[in-house]
Amino acid sequence: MSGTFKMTKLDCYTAKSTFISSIAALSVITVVLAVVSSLSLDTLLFTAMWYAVCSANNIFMISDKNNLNRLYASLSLTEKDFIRGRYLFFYVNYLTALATVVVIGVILAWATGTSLFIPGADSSFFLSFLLFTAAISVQIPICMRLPYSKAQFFVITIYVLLLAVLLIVARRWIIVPLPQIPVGEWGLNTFYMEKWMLNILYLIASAAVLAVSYPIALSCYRKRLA
Amino acid sequence: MSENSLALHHVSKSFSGFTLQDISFELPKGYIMGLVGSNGAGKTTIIQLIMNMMQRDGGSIEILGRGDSVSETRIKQEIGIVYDSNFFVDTWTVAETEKVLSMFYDEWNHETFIRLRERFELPENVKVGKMSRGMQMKLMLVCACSHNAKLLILDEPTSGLDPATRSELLDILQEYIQDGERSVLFSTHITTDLERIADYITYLEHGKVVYTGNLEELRAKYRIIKGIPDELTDRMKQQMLGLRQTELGFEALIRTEEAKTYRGFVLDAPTVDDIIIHIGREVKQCPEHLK
Repeated sequence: MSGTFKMTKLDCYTAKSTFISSIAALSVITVVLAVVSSLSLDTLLFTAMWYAVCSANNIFMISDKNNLNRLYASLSLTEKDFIRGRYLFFYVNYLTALATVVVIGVILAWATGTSLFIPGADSSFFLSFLLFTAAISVQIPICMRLPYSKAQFFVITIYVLLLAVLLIVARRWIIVPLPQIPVGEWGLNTFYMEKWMLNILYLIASAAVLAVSYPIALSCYRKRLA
Repeated sequence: MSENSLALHHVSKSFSGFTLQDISFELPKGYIMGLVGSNGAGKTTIIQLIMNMMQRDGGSIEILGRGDSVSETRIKQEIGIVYDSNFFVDTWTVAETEKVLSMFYDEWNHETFIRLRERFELPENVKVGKMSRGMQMKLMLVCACSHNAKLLILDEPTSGLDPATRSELLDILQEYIQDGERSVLFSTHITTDLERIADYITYLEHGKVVYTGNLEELRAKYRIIKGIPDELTDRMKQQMLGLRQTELGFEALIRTEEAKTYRGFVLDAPTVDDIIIHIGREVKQCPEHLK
């Protein structure tokens, strides 16, 4: 496992130059969002998710530009460490983006005397986590297989489509949170989807998506080496 | 424990437009081997296969006495690599490069890094992307030598370096193998460098090994013959390798055992360059000679 963390650290060092500008840009976006629409934790969480999905991809661009495959091959890392480390790096980006928007959001809310918190914000977090996981689970295998210049088009197209579909579905779930799903055969007339159950479902779905994506990414990377 | 630092057995690899066929050679511990051949001969592919940057189609590679089944991560701890161009991130400084690489090596030696960095006069806070190619090569070499690697692999390390730096690099490589436990595999086009430091040579043409073994034995195998065109007979042409003929004279490579049949001709000991040029020309003229 230490190889995975070392790989994530290596990625953090690699992307360090773009990190500050990335945080600055996200801060500006957050402020603009606060001005043009009402500031809510919901909006902030989805903004952070989108931004992290877009910006974390830079690692593939930097890696291709500097021909870092030769560096990775020279280091005492297994292929699995390399892939797992890259996934972890994406989550580090996600958490950094979340921290940035929440801090900026809290400051703005304090300055304007408004409240960020709305009912259901916890579900928004888990949903944004699922959407983030789904997006990177498509991106990473593609970028592992193809050079970034070729992967870029597929990555952008696929995640825009995927997120659009997921957002439509998820939005319906939030607005109409499945209050009554009949499961009469089990002796229950109705099944109320509690928020915490929904959150757990999001988490399980995220884990399932990752469990499918990781071996595909590994196989894509091996094919690229072949 | 094997006495070889590196051994390739019947390694093969094919990809579009190029085939590496049945590559076998051994680099004993404590020696320097030069990997030579014309452009596209397969030198870099061999290095990439050794580093597991691509998967081979067949054969086996033994590094420091350990074969494929042994953990690759352990072996990588003991290999230092220098490529023909920078493979660090442009925005890292020299100090950051050390910080990053030291995470991956159990035996990283900061003192060695500093000593070599000062010897090569590498400034600590200059970004890799702002360095000249020579400085980038020096930095890669400093890093490769700072973690007590038992095998150094260098892909064209001297190309683009000024003569003084090249000479210093060669001195460092010679110092590096002094303990008899470390070895260097060194691919290059600059064969004068090889003649200065290499003990062994593997010569490749069109993805095949033409010769592998002791450098002096290779030079002893051939003679350069020079003469005027009138002296050239058909029998001689058949024996000669890579014949170059002008109106004023001819030059070719002959096998040393045939030299006694050429009385009255100028016969010289060839340089590695002479051998590569003439054999390369021969292969170009008659590719079946490689078989």
